[in-house]
Amino acid sequence: MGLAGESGCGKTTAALSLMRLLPPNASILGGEILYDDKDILKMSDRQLRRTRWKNISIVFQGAMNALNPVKRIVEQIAEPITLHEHAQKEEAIRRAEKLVELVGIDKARARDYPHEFSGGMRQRVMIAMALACEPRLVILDEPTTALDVMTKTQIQELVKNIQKELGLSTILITHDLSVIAETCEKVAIMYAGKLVEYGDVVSMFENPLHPYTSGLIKAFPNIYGSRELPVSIPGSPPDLLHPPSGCRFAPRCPIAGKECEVSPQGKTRDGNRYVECWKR
Amino acid sequence: MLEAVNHLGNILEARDLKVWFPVRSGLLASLFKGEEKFVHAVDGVNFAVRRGEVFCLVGESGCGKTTTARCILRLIEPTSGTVNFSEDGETVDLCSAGKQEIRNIRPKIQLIFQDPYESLDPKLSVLDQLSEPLEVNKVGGTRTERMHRILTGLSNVGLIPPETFLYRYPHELSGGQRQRVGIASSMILDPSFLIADEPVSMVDVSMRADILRIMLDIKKRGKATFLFITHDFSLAWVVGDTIAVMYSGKIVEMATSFELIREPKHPYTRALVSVVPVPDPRYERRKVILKGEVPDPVDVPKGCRFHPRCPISKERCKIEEPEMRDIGAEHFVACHFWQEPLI
Repeated sequence: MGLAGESGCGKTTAALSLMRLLPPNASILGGEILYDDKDILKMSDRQLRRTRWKNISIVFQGAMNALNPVKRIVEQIAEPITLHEHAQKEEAIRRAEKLVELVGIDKARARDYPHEFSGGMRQRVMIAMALACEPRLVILDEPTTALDVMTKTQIQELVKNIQKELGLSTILITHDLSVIAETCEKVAIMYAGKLVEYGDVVSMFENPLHPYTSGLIKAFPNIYGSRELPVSIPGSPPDLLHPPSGCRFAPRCPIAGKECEVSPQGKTRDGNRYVECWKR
Repeated sequence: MLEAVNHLGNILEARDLKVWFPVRSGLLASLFKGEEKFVHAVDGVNFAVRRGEVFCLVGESGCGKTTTARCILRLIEPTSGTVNFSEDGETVDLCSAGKQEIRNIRPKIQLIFQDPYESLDPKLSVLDQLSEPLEVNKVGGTRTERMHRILTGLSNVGLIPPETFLYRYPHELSGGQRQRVGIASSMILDPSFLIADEPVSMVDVSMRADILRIMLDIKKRGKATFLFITHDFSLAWVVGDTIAVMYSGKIVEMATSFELIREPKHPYTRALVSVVPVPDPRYERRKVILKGEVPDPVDVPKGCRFHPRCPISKERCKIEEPEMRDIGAEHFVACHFWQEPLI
């Protein structure tokens, strides 16, 4: 599933809350996070520790630049295995070496240090680490944003293959809708802290329901389309200290009307699509 | 049509431009006097920018596109080569020009920065930010004339009504507005050549098109020529007239943007174009995914620099570096086997 939206729309915060990794000044005011029908928000610290890494893991944004510079990469990948599964060190290292190969790094380089790796390779290390305890859900936060086009594609293909091979579920957070079009089956679009649309990728691109979604799709140039400039959405995202009352997108929305002064109710459309807009 | 463009002539011509940085070696290495090593950031680049066009330099990080741009501004000293800048019938070689000459020419060549959060002084109001270049260069006439110029500059970048922006500070502006102020301050001296280095990569997606439109408006009004630096082919596709693709310090292919994107010839370009993400989940195409990464600029491969990653490389590519050849229709490619299919 792709989770898309502009910077500051709450994608990362939503992802961090799934694992209850929010900063101390944040609090979850309501709702549920169900993993296998168990509410993560009601878990004890102990249960939570057992869920993190083993069931749900995350590749943090920019984490490839946060690898420990004085530790060999294989040891860093082995660390969650020893911590979460209480495995012996040799066993953990052996499993880490397998993961290194799985993410397409030459086994001979497993004992290298992070500075000997390029950005793309370090991102592969992060993915290996996220897979260390055989989770069923992996959250990837902007995993390819700082990488070059070719490296980006290599990583995308890697994630796709691993996902198929291991039968994983993934949440891909990105601001780049074209990446979502290429790699995801489902998409959730966020705007100013709200989920405004959710559905399968093909119908969303073919027939976006929310005016923000259609605006966002039009903002991306397509090298197989016309050479016309893409279209911007007028205005800028609201200040979340003082969000507009009613629909948060209304001040930028081309079809906003009187009813949009009240927050829209979410509704299901065509069975499996969801949208929060009065007009659709 | 080509005639029509040609008679305007070239505003900028780079010939065999090289920028090498010495690799600092440790004490031991200098004692045992090994071969001195260099980072070949830009390694013999040739291109010409026509007056009034948007010329795009596209490539992956570390290919030398930013170094080339900085060289034009002489923010970096070139190792060798020439960059001729022509304006009002006069031509100056920016590479050999003296300090005073560079100072005189600087107002003509301006830079649009990548990051509007860092390029604006947080302690300067928009008015001060835009006045500074006028004061430093002692242009703009009287106070009223300057003010008029600043207000026009702001409305040209879509900050309307301009009066309301004069006394705002960068923190009171959104990302898109900041980049507009950045462009306004690059334009305030009426430059004829603008270098835009990834001008929208820090701007929110929903507002990027507006920034690009401002650039194209400036171009349409015949105000300036652009050197647009980006890693993103889809941006080059919508704004560029000509695209040059760089790899490891060299230009490997150059053509009109339509030709380059629709009929790429160099195997590197063909691969890069094939992996450009498309905002359409139904669009099927064959992606050519290259293995490996950009070579170490200290130790560039012999022969063709691209041969270790090239899907169609042959013996000849390991020995002989391909020359840039003209394959007609203003299309240039540096590859021995550009006519071969990519398997």
